[in-house]
Amino acid sequence: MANARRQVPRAMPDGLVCGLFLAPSLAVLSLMVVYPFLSLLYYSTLRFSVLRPAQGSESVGMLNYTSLLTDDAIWDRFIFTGQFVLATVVVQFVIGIAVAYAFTRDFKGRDLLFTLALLPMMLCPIVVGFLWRYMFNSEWGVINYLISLFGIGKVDWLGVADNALWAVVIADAWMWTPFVILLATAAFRGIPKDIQESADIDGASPAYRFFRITLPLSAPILLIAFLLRLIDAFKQSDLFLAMTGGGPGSETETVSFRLGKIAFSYFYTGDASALAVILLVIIIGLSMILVRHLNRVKDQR
Amino acid sequence: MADVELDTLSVRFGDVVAVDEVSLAIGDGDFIVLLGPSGCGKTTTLRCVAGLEQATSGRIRFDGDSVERLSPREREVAMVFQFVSLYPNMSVRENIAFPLRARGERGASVIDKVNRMAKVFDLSSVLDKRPRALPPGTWQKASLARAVVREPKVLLLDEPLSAIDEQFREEMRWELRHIQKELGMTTIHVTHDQREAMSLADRVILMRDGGIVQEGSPTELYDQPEDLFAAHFIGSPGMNLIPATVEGAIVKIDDQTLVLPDRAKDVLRSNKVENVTIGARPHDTLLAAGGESGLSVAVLSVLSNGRENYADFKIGGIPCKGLIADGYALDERASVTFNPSALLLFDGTGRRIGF
Repeated sequence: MANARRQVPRAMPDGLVCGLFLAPSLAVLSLMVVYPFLSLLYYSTLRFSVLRPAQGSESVGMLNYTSLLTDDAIWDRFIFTGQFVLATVVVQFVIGIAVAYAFTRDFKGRDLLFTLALLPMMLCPIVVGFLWRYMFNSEWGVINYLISLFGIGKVDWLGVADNALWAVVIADAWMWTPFVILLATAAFRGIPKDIQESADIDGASPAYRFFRITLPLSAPILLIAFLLRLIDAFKQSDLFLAMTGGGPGSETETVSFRLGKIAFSYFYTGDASALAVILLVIIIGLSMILVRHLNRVKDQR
Repeated sequence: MADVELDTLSVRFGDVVAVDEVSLAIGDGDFIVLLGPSGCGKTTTLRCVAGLEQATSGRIRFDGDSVERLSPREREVAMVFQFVSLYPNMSVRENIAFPLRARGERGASVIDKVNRMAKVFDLSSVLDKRPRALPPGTWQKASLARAVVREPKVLLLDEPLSAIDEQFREEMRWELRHIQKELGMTTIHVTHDQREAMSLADRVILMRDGGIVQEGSPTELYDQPEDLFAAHFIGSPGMNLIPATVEGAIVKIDDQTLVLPDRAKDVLRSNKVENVTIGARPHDTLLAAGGESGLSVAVLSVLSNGRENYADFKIGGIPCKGLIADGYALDERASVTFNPSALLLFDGTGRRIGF
């Protein structure tokens, strides 16, 4: 075989053949990823607005970055985003894992219920946002009606920043917990039945089995779900747009919400580009953890 | 340690009867093997004893106490499964300690027991390795160690050796047998491999279609199979089973007359048997090249196992095997006789006729 291969005459060297095969995808990739990224980097060093191209652009070096990073208002947005990400991801995982664990048992109507449980994930974020905005309405919303049954007075859910944070956390968790349920169910079902039964016979209580067997064995998939949810939550802006519009004031603006405002309300294209680069760096950092972890999972299989 | 009693145990999955009124008494410290082809209900029976499957009706008792309401955890049994059952996220040491820790045992006694098991099963060198890094033989040894570390009432083995290479399997059988006797545990072992059953069991329970066909010592099953199924299933190479017709005092196979002991003829006559199946193990079936007495057959091929030569031939269209002495030639006629003391007769319904 090896000899036969060597005797085949070659019109082109192997390297060139490989290069030609890769060329189309490399071209598309550079067009779709590399060019926009480089132009973003370029704009981030300019004082420039797309609304007033006639005013021209002036190179300001790192000024956009330094002014952003020394602006307390931006740091407040990062802190607010961090609070939101932490709260929503924790809520999603606690509820998602619990529900997924319940779905590992056989019961009547399980498949139908499972499909229903996944529905919120398929809705459009703006729709979800308005849905919850109406439910959280302090005058006629269903949530205030329900808590009034327990003798609790009206709560201004969306008008106070601290309340609004939790209101949006609830809406976001409602929408994205199904994703955690989906992946956690897959992870739990992937554990061989023999191992679960072994643990039962070995005398493990359900809780002991869950924490010593089920959870460690599904950790790789759960970590993937965790990172995906983390990245996604970090980018959340639609729900805030629909539910609070960033208010009161700008107290419930996430970083990406603020980015949208700088870019498309104020049209400070240079500042917006710089903030986008900062966001991108953070998300690339998170993604690298994810990709590295995915490779490790692949190696283990 | 406990004795185990199954009392008219039945398991149904919808319309399918997996286990059909099985009754069985297993003494304290006995090693019994449930043997049968796949789908015969042996594994379901075992899983009922473990508590992983609920019996539709019937009772299971350990030392006289009914256990069918108890969860697997409360039954204090141990089980080794066919394939994966070591916890892949733990070292061998943690695996063996798991049943102790799961029940709240802590500290030095856990370490002592794990070390003792490591010594018994020769696992000391691999205690800190992950199961993935072990060969299947060691893997199953570790599973066994984990099963017995708690000194369970009953040890349940679900084809634990079938995933192991043939070469190591033999070795593992010896070891399993040895350890079981040393620890004196009541053991129920499930297998479809009759050789494994014969070499391990104090008592073999042969099952088919959810019921017990025959139970007894390996020798009993080998020498006195109750029916054609048992005769066919046990022994390798398999027993020759040749249909014959009874005409008065003469038993005929394919127009040739078979010489039977007088007592056998008497029994056939008094039971008015018309169609009989003759059963003889290959090493009780003797071929003589060019011989005069016995049935005349053509030798189709001969296979030597180093010590003896086994010839393939056909009687009445049925492929058979028998011992043949040196000096044969292929396609030549040979005469077949059966060792009369080992000859078995089965009636038209497949039951053995004693004589």
